[in-house]
Parts: sequence; structure tokens; C-alpha cells
Amino acid sequence: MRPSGPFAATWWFVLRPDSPQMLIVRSVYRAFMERRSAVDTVTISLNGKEVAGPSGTTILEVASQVGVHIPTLCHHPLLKSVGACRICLVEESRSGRLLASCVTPIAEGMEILTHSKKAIDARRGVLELILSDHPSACVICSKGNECVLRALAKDHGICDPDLEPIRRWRSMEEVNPFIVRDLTKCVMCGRCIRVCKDYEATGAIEYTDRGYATHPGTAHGTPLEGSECNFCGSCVTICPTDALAERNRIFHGSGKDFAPGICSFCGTGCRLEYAVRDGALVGARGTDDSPMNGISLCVRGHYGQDALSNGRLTEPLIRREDGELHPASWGEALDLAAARLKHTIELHGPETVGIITGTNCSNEELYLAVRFARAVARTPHVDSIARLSSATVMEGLTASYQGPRRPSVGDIEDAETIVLVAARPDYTHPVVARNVRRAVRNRGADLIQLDSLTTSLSRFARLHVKNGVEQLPPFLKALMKELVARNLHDEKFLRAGIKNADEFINRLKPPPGEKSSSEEVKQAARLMGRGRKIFILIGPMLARVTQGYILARLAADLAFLCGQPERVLFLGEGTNEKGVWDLGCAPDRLPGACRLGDSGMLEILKGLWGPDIVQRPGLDAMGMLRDAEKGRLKALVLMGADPLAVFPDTERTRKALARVDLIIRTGMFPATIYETAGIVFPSTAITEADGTYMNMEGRVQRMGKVANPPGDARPTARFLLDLAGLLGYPMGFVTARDIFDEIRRVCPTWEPLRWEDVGKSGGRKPLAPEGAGSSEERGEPRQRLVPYTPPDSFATPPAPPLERPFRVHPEERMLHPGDGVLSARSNRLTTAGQSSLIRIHPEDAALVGAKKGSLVMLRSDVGEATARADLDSNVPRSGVAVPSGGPDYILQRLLPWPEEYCPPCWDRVFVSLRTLEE
Amino acid sequence: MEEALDQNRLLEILKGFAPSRDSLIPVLQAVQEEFGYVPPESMEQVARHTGVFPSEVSGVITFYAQFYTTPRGRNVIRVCRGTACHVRGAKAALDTVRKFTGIEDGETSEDNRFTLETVACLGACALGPVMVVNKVYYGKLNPGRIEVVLKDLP
Repeated sequence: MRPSGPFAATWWFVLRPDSPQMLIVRSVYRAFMERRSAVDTVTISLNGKEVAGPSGTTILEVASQVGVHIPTLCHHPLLKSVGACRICLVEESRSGRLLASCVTPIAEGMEILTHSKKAIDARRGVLELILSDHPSACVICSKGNECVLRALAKDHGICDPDLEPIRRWRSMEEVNPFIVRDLTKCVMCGRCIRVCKDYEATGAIEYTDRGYATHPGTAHGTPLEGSECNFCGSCVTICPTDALAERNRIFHGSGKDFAPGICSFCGTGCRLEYAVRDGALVGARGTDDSPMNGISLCVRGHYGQDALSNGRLTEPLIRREDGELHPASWGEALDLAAARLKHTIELHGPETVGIITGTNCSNEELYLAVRFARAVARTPHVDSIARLSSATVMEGLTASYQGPRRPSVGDIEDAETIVLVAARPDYTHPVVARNVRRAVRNRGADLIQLDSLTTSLSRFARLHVKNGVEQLPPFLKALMKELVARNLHDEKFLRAGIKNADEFINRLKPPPGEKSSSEEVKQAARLMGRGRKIFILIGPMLARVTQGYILARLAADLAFLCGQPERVLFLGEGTNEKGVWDLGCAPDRLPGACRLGDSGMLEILKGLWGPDIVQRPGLDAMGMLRDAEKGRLKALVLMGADPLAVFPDTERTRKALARVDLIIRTGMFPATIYETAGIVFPSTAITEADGTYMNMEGRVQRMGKVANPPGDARPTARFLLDLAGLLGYPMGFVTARDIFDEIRRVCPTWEPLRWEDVGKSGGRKPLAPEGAGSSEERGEPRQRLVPYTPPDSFATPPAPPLERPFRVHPEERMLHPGDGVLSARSNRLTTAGQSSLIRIHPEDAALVGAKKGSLVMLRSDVGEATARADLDSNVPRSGVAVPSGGPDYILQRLLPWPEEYCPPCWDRVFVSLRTLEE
Repeated sequence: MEEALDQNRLLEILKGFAPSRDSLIPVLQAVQEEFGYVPPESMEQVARHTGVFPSEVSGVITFYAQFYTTPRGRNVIRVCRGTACHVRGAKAALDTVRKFTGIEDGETSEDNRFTLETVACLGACALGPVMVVNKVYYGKLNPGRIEVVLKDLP
């Protein structure tokens, strides 16, 4: 508005942005700001040289930036400094004061001497005091040359402290199978406490007691296994001395070399360092260069890697005339496999051959499997067992997004509201749970948990809706309606960003006179309301329920409503579960995450694979089993898959597989399938061969060979290439890189990836370049989002039958992730794992006469299983919490085979309980 | 002896404090005032209310001498062992208390009547030897006076 009045013209002249007066004001302001920013940069003198840094920087940080080394002990770059140990003392020469450089911010005009006599003497004094009550038995200390204290003593030339030692002997604590604690060696630096509280947000330990008695302790002083500790082991990684050490190291030796790699226990794809000695894997530890996990690992990644070397297959086996498996050479076994496969194809036709890959196959192996099936064996029956535990959700998300998604585990931390849709990352993906806890604890995020069971994350939840999975679709729909009704949704985004936005919103508008939502829905809507940054995690168990597809789409809808479509993550369990989708290891898909009918992709493939590609859809894994049962499947190639560990109704699966004439299997371990396998090939572990893997975010990471394979184990890719060659179809690949390069030519989204860049062993670039990494990069991003628009009502779940009144609540176990095949090989994990415990409500237990520890039989309409009972009042009434995977496979025995084209679902399974013995 | 914690009483106490970590010590003091000690079962609730980890509550309780995790006697006797009291016969005074109550330093009698503690100074050196029973000071102690005081305690 233009000013008015007698001096209006003058004022307007003065206030014009380019008037001389305003220019003066501006220049004064600029000078003021410059002065201020000059104050913000502080200059000090460090060992006589001028050094500058922004105010608030510590002396230690400034020194390290200019390459001056100040020794530290309690300081760790990832943790908040507390200045506990005083090893980093430096001298301020003007005042003569000694300052702890890790906590002292620089101040204008400081004159710091890092290596004056006074500073060095002070540091030596501090070190001697610390060493005076530290055992000097360094020769037999398991921390060995990694010990920070020993390195400091060496650096400062301290051999024999002049001080009379005051020994605080405390007994070793070796209660759990993972961590040994020897407080005698503790220097009270507090690193373990800070890493537990701030970095892991677990808070299991805190300074306990006072004075000389001070030590890191749990609440109530219970042993770690009775506390909140989840044995992530970050405290062991970060402990500068041997006060905290890995247990049973004595049997392995400690690592001589540390080789970067990725962990294979779940879909997170954590980066870590494998400890190797003489070509053998002896351990693992976190590194700090990972976007997923930082230095964190979970109990499996840290302490379960012995699984990769225990009880391995070392030579090919052939079932001879006596019906037993006998060792054979690779040449003989390959010749036999090729001859029998050829014979089967000629006699019964290629359609009687099936190929099933495991969850741990690398991208290259998956690609070869598809090519082998469709171009060599000429069968459409190719599938991965990973699809049994992901298909419905992945199909749902693909339908909603119609394009690539790049959710990031790191994004969880800046969320303001996190929604767990039947997700239990604390059990399935502990490193993701760490991010959830950090968001809640360190940044004040709100956690909404939609789960019938109570988990360790429940204590962090603002809202815990104890809905069973069958009540989830109506709940999510009500939540969306509430968001629309209260105008909390992001209308602008919807209008601009998704297809059929009007219809979508109108369907969610409540009709007049509808009864208001429940209090839980209202609270959830408030927490997710407009502008709040959300993150939705979908649990792996949702892929095995009847409504898995709908639930995945509703979760996506919810993210659309909040205007944040990228912030939905499905917690995939398999190491390379996502790779299965990108490389089309499915009966109705092609590499490049294409549908089978994609003519463009077929043209590309014909150019590379030859003109005769089988283009028909084939049978999925369950379909192959059904064919096997009917005697129609004559040959089955299992690449690392252990069917009895993953398929439902173990007995029926066993019988069906027994009818297959030829089973060729590659695997790391002898498996239950032994009874039926004709030819067995020993395969390498993830640490023993080159290959790339795609984690659940869609990040392609490369794993290099870090350890030697046992005996004559070879990569499964090698096996497929040799077999194809013997069948008269040489593919011409020599290394994994050759296959990777062909994948890049096939999959459009892989094109920008470079073998060197996707994180070689030792590489520092695990991230796929921007614009690559995931799949289905077609079309304009804004038009790719398709809302599901929930139906008016959902199918009512069936009521439990009278004779089997208990509903099954599958529960993932932290120590036995996924199908539990790998973890079952780890001595430490199996020692600690209470895998075969089922949990029931105490009142239900009383009804069936069970007590804590009773042996109980569960019987469904297809099978039965026995397990020990644990009583827990958090389990819903008329429900029983059953471990979802191995090593006992209780759930698998109870599940029926699914209907046609449906994953094995647990949500319609009811059991009876009978107490066998008290 | 161990009774189930009265959750309602605990919740009533927590209501009076802001849900912030700053309230931790006042909350613990109020809990101890109400129950006579800080019941270990209450730590989880206190932690939840104040937004800290249970281990942190435990850390605070074990750090401060003022907090107790076991039930205390109806009468808490603190006998001074400071220098001034010592030269005026604090040892004899302590022996008398021990003999009368039948318990040692740091213990609670079985009938829950007494808890005995020794402290370094009670800040009343001029009155030494000194003891404090339930916040009441008794100075210039002698065996007869101690017995008179203790006899009348409930």
C-alpha cells in the first residue's frame, strides 16, 4: 500500500528499496552481520600456528582438522564427549591451565600447546593413575593389539607405573553366550553407556553406584539377558579395553585382517567388517561408513557369523544305487546332473522341470537362474522361495506405485510419526528398530504400533493398537477417513500427484450421519496429521496373510494421503529378496522387474539369450509342489533353497518332494531335503564369492570374496554356468562381473551402476548412484501413484472352530531371522535362542492345564507340533504366539497348503492346545 | 514381606510432577516418602513418566545415599562417627545403640522397628556425640539417655 499524508512522497522515496538511505541501512546491516560472523569464527594459536574454526568447535576437533594428534581414550567421534578420562589434556600457555581438549570449545586468543612438557607430563600422570588399577596381564588379553589403553601406554612410554597399584578385582561375568564382562579392566570411560543410551537408544546400562564402586550396570542390577539389552554388541565394538569382549573368541582366534562386506541375516544389508584369519572367517564388527547401520550391528550380524562356517558341505554328493549319498567329484556330479536333466527333458518335456532359488542368492545367480530356466532348460517354472514371504505385499506396493520407490532406512530417524503396521523390526530387523528408537528417544517422534502382540518397542509407543491382522484393513480405512474428515490430509499433493485423486478423496469422505471414529483412530489421525513427517513400516508377516495385498495398498494410500509416498518400507527378510523382483525370478516376470508380456524387454532378451525364449507364465513354487504331488514334476533344481524349512505343511511337502525323480540341490549346509535330493553341490557363503545383493531399500551392494570356501564348495553361479555348458548352451561368462554387466544391459535401472562403485570389498561407495538402484523406471513420476480406494466393507474373518479355539499369532524371533536356516548353524545364537517357546495367556494356560515350561501340543487341521509353553499376559486371549521360523518350524507344520496362486497364510489357522506333561 | 506395589498410590504421586527428566529426583523422593523406600517395581513407571530409561533411574537411586530400594525400619537411627563425636565417645554410643536394637550398621531389625546407619557428620559437633532419630537430634549422648530415647520409639 502506498503511504499517504503530507510527507507521503518523501517517505515513499526513503523507503524505496534502492533509495540512498536504504542503501546505507543495508550496508550498515551487512557490516554488522559480517562482524557477527567474524565473531562466529574463532581463531586460536595451536602450537604457535594460527588455526580457525567456527565457535563451539572443540580444541580436539580443530587440532584433528590440521593434523595435530591429541591422544584420547573416552572420546569417540560418534558419541557426545564427556571429558571423563583426561587423557586429552592440553596446555593453555597464557594461563598455564590444563584443558580437556575433547570438551573445551575454542575461544578467541587461546594459545594451546598440545605437546608441551606440562601437557605430556599431565597426560602421563593421568595414564599412570588409570593403569594403576588396571591388570597388566596384556599378554593373554583377548583385546590384544586393539586395546586403546595399551596403545596409549606404549605411545607415552609407560612400562612400569611407579604408583602402588590399587587392585579392584571383580569376577568375570560370562552369563550370556555373546558378551564377557571383566570389570577389573574397566576404565570408566563411559563409552559403552553412551553408545547404549544415545547411539542405540537402548538404555540397558547406566553408571551404577558411586565412588570406587561405580560401574556400568543395568536397572536393578539384573544380568544383561534380563534387561533391555538386545545384544547388539555396539558396547563391545566401542569398549577401548577388554572390559567388554566377545565370548568364545578363544575358540576362533581374533581377526588378523578386517575386510568390509555386507551381512546376510536379513534384508537390511548392513555393512560390516568381517574379521579374517588365515582365510577363515572368525568374527565381524561394525564399521562407521554405512548409511543403514553406522557402527551398529544386531546380535546376528555381530555374533552369529560363525553360522557361515559351521557344518558346511564340502564336496558334491551323489545318490548311488544303495540309496545313500556318496561323495563325488564336481566333474562326475555335473556330468550326471546334465545327463539326467537332458534325459528328463527329452523323455517328459521341459515343462516337467522346475527351478527354485533361495533367499540368499546373489543378483547374478538369480539372473542366471532365470536365463537357465527360460533359455536353457526351456521351462517357465522358475521361482524363488523369497516370494513366499513377500509376494502379496510386493505386488500390492508395485500396483500402488507403478514405478520405483526409494525408501531409506535413514529416513526413519527424521520422522515425526512412525507407524508400525504389524512390523516388529526389533525382532526382524534390529538395526531398523534402532533407528525407530533413536527417532523416538532422541528426537521426540511419536510411535504408533499396530500389532496384536506386545514387543520390546511397545514401551516406546505413544499409541499401541492391539488389533489382530484381520482388523487392520478396517482400522486403516477408518484412519484414512478420519484424516480426510478432519482435513488433516495433504490435498494439494493428492490433486497434483496421484491418479484419480477426486474419486479417492470422495470415497473417503464420510457420509453424513456416520458414527464417529473410535478414540484410537482419532489419536492416530492426530499424530499423523497434516505436515507431520511420517514413516510407515510394513512387517514381513503381512505378506503371509490373506489380506496382505490389500494391507500393502492401504499402507501406500495412507502415505499418499499424508503426501509422503516415499516413506513406506516393507521389511523384507531375505538377504536378496528385493533382487528377486528386479531380476524377474518369478514365473510371471522378466528381468528388469517387467511383466512377462513386456515386448520391449523380450526383444532385448532375445538379442542376448537367443531367439527361443520360453514366454509363457509358469508355476510358482507352490504350484511346482502341487505338480510334484501329482507326479507331473520330474526334475527340480533347488538353488540354496531348503523347502522343508519354508513350505507349509511339512509332511505333505516331504511326500510331494519324494515323488520327484531328480532333485538337484546346491547349498551351504546339509539340509532336511537330503532324503530326496539326488545330486548335491556344495555352494559358497556370501563371504566366499563375488556378487551383488539388493537390500530392502533397493540399494545394490557388492560383496567381494573375503574368506576361502571350505573344501570344494563353489559359487552357485559357477554351477549353473557349467551345467548350462554341458547342456550345450555356453553362456560365456567368466566372472560375476561379466554377469553383472549383462544385467546392466538388460535392466534399464541398473545401467548407471558400475561394478567398481557398488561397494567392492574395501570400497566406500555402497550407495547406488542417484536415479538408479530400484526398478520399473518408466513414466512420469507424478502419474505413477495409483491409490487403491478401499472397498465399503472388508471380508469378515472366519470365527475359530469349536474344536480348535486358538488363533495363531506368528512371532518373529530376533535370534532366528527369516526361515532360520542360517541362524540354526550358529552356536551362539542357538545357545541363546529360546526358539521353541510358544507363549499363551495365563488364563488360557489354566484352561488347558499348562504351566510355565509345560510341554504343549498344538494341532491344526493339517499337522501338529510340540513346544514348551511360556505364560505372558500380553498375549491376547484365545491366542497363541508361535515362532514364525526355524529352527523348529512349528508354524510350518501347522500351516495348510494355500489355495491356488496364494501364499501360505497363517491368519486363517486355528489350533487346539493339549498339555502333554507339566 | 514383599507386597505387590500399590499402583494407584504410585500413579497418584506421579500425577503431581511434570513428565520431564527434571522431575526424576523429586519424584523418587516423593515415592520414598510415600512407601518408605523406592520399590524396585516402581522404577519402570517412574522411568516412563520422566522419559528416561529404567537403567537411568537405577543409576540415580544407586548414586544418592538418600534413596533406598529395600524397606526401612519405622525408626531410622543415624549415629555420627565424625571426629568431634569420636573423641567424645561416639563409639560407645554406637555400641549402646547396637546392643539395644540388636542390629549392625546398615541393617534393619526383623520386626521392622529400627534401621541403623552411621554417618560421617551431622553438623552438630558441639553437641557430640550426636545421633538423629527420625529427623530429631539427640546430643551429648550417654548410654542411659540413648536407652530412654530408643525405648519410647514405636
